[in-house]
Amino acid sequence: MAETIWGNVTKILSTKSFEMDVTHQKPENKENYSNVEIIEFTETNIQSIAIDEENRTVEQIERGLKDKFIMCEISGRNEQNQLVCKVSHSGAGGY
Amino acid sequence: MNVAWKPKLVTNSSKNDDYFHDLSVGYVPALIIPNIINNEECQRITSRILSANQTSSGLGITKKIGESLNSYLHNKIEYFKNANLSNQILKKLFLKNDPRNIMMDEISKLFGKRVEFAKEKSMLYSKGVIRLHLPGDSIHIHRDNANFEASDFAVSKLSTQMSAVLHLQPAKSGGELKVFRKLWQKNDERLRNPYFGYSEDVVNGIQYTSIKSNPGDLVMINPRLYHMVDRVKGKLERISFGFFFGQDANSNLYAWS
Repeated sequence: MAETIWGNVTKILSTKSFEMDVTHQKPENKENYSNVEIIEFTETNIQSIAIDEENRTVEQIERGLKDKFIMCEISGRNEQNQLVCKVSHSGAGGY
Repeated sequence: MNVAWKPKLVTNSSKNDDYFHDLSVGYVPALIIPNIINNEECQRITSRILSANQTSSGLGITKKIGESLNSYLHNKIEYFKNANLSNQILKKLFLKNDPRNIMMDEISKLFGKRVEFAKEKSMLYSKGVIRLHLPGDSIHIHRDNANFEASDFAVSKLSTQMSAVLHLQPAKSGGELKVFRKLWQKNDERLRNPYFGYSEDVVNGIQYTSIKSNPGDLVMINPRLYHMVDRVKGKLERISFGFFFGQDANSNLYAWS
């Protein structure tokens, strides 16, 4: 099972990365994560975000992710020490 | 000092512009139109629901009939496919005395606005959900806000989302709707629970009102106010039917679930 964290997207940095406030961590996680992490996303279930990076815009990602509560399934860290993750919106705030 | 913040009981379903405004800004926690259908009709519908064997589970609820958009936030095709199926199930379940017609009529009269179920590119949204809360069930603190959460769907462009719930069978005890005097703000997202709703900290110290579920009552709230359902006690399931509605630029109302 992948290491998993949850939190809110605070800033879109590029067509494949954003900053998030980490609010929840899976109890089974083996690593510790900072309160603020930079995420490089490799995959997302958010339909308004194009699958191919060259077809994405920062504005498109802002609409889909900015301020949203998301789940990040972590596959590791890249050379810039950013978390490489599969990203999805998590649960729902209501019906 | 907490001033009284109580539901407004609407006894005469006449047009009143203030009602819509007062509910949308949270001046009142709820508008209640009592007995829009009588006890016998509530019992008839309840009995059909309980014998229908059509329930499924969803986000934040273990037993329901009908589809909720929030279970499909990122799967629009699946939502409309299943909404079509659940619309057929509800139609068969309600038969000729469909309570939705009465609910829509009451809403239309009360607010003086046209109301109909929402469509997107000729596809019909889900026309409501029956929620069955079993003994021991409760619904965690949450808010409903398609504007923020369902941005892939056309109903997210509607303003002033409201919730309309027809109570069909009350719990023996408990199961009260608790509405908190606090509207959701973006900043509250930091208090989200991973799977459903929010940490109780989001309403810590906030004034609230409790609403008993009387069969036949139509209860409307602004669902951006935090709300929850207290634990159901006793043997009876708490059964209700509900949908959301919101307003377009021409002040027409469109409903969905």
